[in-house]
Amino acid sequence: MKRSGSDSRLRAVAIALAGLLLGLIAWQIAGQRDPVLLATPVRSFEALVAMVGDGTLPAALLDTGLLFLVGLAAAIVGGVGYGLALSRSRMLRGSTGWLVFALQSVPIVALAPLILAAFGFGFGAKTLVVFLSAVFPILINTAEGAKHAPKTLLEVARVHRSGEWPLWRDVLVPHTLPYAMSGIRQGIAMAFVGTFIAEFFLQATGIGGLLLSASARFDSATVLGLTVLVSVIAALLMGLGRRLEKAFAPWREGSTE
Amino acid sequence: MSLHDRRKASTLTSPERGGAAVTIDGVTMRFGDRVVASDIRVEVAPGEIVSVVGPSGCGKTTLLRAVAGLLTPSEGSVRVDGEIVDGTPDGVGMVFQHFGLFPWKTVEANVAYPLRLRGLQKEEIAARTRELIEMVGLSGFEKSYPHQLSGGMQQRTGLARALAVRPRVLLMDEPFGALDAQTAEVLRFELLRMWEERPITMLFVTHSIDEAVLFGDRVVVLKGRPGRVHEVIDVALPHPRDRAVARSEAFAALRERVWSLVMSPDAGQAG
Amino acid sequence: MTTLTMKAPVRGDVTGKIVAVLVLLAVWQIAGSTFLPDYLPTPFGVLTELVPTLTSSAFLTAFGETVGAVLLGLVLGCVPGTAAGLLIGRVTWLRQISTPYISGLYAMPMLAIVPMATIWFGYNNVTRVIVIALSAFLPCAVSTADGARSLPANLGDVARVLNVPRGRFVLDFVLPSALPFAVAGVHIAVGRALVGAAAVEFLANIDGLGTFILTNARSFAQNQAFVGVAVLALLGVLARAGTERLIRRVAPWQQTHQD
Repeated sequence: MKRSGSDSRLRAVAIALAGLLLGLIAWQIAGQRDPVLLATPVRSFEALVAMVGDGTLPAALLDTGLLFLVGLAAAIVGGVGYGLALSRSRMLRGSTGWLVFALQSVPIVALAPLILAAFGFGFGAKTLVVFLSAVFPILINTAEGAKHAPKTLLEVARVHRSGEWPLWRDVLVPHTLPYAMSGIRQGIAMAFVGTFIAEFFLQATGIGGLLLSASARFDSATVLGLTVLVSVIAALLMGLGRRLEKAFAPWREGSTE
Repeated sequence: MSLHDRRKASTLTSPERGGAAVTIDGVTMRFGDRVVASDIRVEVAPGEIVSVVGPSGCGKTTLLRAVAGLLTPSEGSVRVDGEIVDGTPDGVGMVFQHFGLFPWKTVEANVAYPLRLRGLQKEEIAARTRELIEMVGLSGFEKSYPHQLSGGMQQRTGLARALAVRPRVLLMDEPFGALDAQTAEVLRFELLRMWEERPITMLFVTHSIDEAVLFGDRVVVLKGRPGRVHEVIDVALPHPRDRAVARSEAFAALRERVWSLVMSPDAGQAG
Repeated sequence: MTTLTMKAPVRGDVTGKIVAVLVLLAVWQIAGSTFLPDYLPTPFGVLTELVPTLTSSAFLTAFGETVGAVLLGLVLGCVPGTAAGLLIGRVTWLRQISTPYISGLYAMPMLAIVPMATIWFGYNNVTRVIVIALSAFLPCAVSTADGARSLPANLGDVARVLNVPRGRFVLDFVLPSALPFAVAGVHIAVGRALVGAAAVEFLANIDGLGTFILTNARSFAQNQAFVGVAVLALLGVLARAGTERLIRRVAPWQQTHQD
């Protein structure tokens, strides 16, 4: 694909843009036919602009962003830390490794009412939801990566009489980093989901809160505009995650797939 | 080529002239119930090259790992200069079949790795690394990552790293086994030339009978399951071992002899 | 130095596991009954409520509602999703035209679509099935498209050298190589479908496991609520184990490629 030149890539982008434009036109026409259920793109855009004007949208974005970032940061610290610990300690692995895999399959959405009942709807409780959503992919990827540290390289380290700390510096950490990064990439997506769980089911704040209240008012223009905005942010986050993943492994061949 | 620069080559290996003596004394290697090598006895004199050949599964790589201190013998012992090996001794270099390079380190950083572990000064590391890279003919590729290099260049890096510790003993684990025939040939003669500049003790495990005869002062033939020392052949070929030696009739005769020893049917030998 | 192999001997680990479970349960019980908030479930509470909850008619109705909706949604999502994936994977312009939509929707939390869906379809089972179907459609389409594109280049050459007709090419080359990817798509879809179901039930207040958990948690019957959570988790685990076995069955030549 890469070799096929900039011409075909340009064409691909053009076709994708044309597809988007077609979609927008279809949306506009449909919206004009049924203005109650389906707001037109123009009206949705106007709704977003109005919310920027009165400051609600920036404030909500800030709210959501803060929750997302704090929860994600906690998940990265916890996930990478415990993942590394799991890989080096037989005892921890044998005793809690399977628990991690069991907990991982608990749907966090379903836990939300319990968390609400137990911890309320403060920032801490909401952060907990984001943390729980994002921590498992990070933890599991890190542990898997560290576990598969190549045997030859461990031997190289031993032949050179490496101590434990240089072994981490030269072998374990650089080997595990890309795995942790792909865990973090998945964690970013999950943290975003977790942010909405928190905002929908604990306390209606941020973008989630705006979506809920607009939906309750049957304000389809606002809901549609926000939904598209959310999907754009999600796609950007995913792209950012992939960038991060690549950036931390310059020694890998061009395509990491 | 810098290989001929005597002054530089000699600074690399000067302190331990001639290398160490290696004694493999009645070594038996066992994994659970499976005995891989049984009662192996080999003496390697300082500066001598001993090749170890044998069919796959005869335990030659396992034996080499025991000498490197990566595995502990179930019975018997390995001594380097009289000291029992328990963990890799200082001054042992090892070259791995699949290079064993750190994929996240550049050529430079890979070569510098043993020096950094020893806590040398930055300037000294840089100078020695430059020397080593020049010696193996990789100047200009210092900043390349292993995946950007050909197999031959990767093994040159592996060789430079093994030489960085100014080894008394060089352990070769089928070092050219993963390379294409032509590249392997070129590297063989380069390594031989380096050795002639400053001979050190070398234990050379290989699949290739040609390689065993070309390098070895003696060739140890391992056979059977578990592997035992089947025969030790003196290789009375002249030094330096170059292309002319490899074309000689004496070489061909020795190769024939080792070949028939390795290939002859043997009780207890599967496939 | 410890070796880094995870295949640790089993016998020694069993004690470790038992100890870990006991410690966890003890800490949970003690913390729950002493300093943690009162509204958290405790092991004893869950244990005593387990059988009564599982046999209560409220639970059984909720369970039937959710499982029925998830199954229906999965069928409505996975079948067209897989078909769309095949098309997207093999037809270049279709792929290019759909990329912005698919990647935008795929990245987006399906949760965020629920407010829109409730406006369009109302607070009822239709919304639930549609959200589940959409949650299932996207991973199926994305994964199958990957599979349809993943045909090794030299196999394509083989087909050309053998002069394989187009129909046979799809049957003998494209489908087998896409099949494990399609199952992998279903594998992801199942998890997302369960989450989607619970989310819609919460937001739209439709009968099901989600509302069962919600009403119990609200009336401080946190142990019953926890049983509901555990059942949802178990459903996810079972379904995923099932699809994993299916992958191995339909594609024994391939390792499970999962994230």
